[in-house]
Amino acid sequence: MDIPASLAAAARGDQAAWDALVRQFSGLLWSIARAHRFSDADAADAVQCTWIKLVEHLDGIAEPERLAGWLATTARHECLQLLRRAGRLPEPAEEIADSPDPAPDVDHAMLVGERNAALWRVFEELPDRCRRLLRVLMASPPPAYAEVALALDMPVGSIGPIRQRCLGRLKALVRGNEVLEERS
Amino acid sequence: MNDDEFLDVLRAAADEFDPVPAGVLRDASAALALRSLDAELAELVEAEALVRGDEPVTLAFESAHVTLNLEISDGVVRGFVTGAEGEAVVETPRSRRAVPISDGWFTAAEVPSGLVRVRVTSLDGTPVVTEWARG
Repeated sequence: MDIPASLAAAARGDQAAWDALVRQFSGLLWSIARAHRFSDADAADAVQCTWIKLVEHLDGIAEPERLAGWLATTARHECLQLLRRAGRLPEPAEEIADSPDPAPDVDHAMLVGERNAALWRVFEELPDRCRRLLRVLMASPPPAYAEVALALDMPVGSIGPIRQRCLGRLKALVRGNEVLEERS
Repeated sequence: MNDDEFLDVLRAAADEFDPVPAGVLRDASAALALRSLDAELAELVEAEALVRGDEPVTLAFESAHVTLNLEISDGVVRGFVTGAEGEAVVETPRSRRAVPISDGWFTAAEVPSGLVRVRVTSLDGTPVVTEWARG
């Protein structure tokens, strides 16, 4: 999609162009709110506030081609404001150690169909820093690392290595899960 | 399965178990209508840092024509404005309420939590609206 063109059209009041932006980026914004462990209501609030800020700044986006990054940054600020308002401060990020053993491979047959539900439960057991990063990486459509970095205030260069370690942790949990381990 | 493929499986699980709610998409679509093309923008120049949720929020806005101070606490928005008279319209994304300005002061009660902004009319008739701020 041509994001600068959609943004310019939306700034002229074109609802269809605006809706195209909403479809393109709502998945990313929702994942950022969820990465902050917000409830449905708080996540909806954070996402809505981000869109309203964009409406307010429709004529003032300096680099329209980097809209995704602007939205990711704005969503993070909205999430932090909500956390402060609620008297909850973000927890310091813990270090993610490598899995003790090389991450076992996970084959695709284990993870199809109804097993997604078990996979989702296992995902929720991950340490917070892993959950946070992977939840944003899981957004649809997949975000670029630059946007993930802005969403989570992480250096871009750290995302690849932490992603690898966190997926390794998750694979280890999957291997230890009866539902996921059982083969049909 | 490599990491990219595994992440694709996770993405499918997220789409199934934690999709963007339809109401969130509807609200996002409707947000374009909150655009305020006619009014001069009063920018936030000062916001009291918040540590705890139970303190009132104090905010200061300025435009070419007006200055506006807001204190927001428990759904009550109290404001003091210079350079405007008549009514202040206290808006949230889902509500708007007009209250009279008396000697610069106005108060609106039962304002839903979340974002809020205030519209006033300057002494020379220019419509002015504040930036959105979180109450």
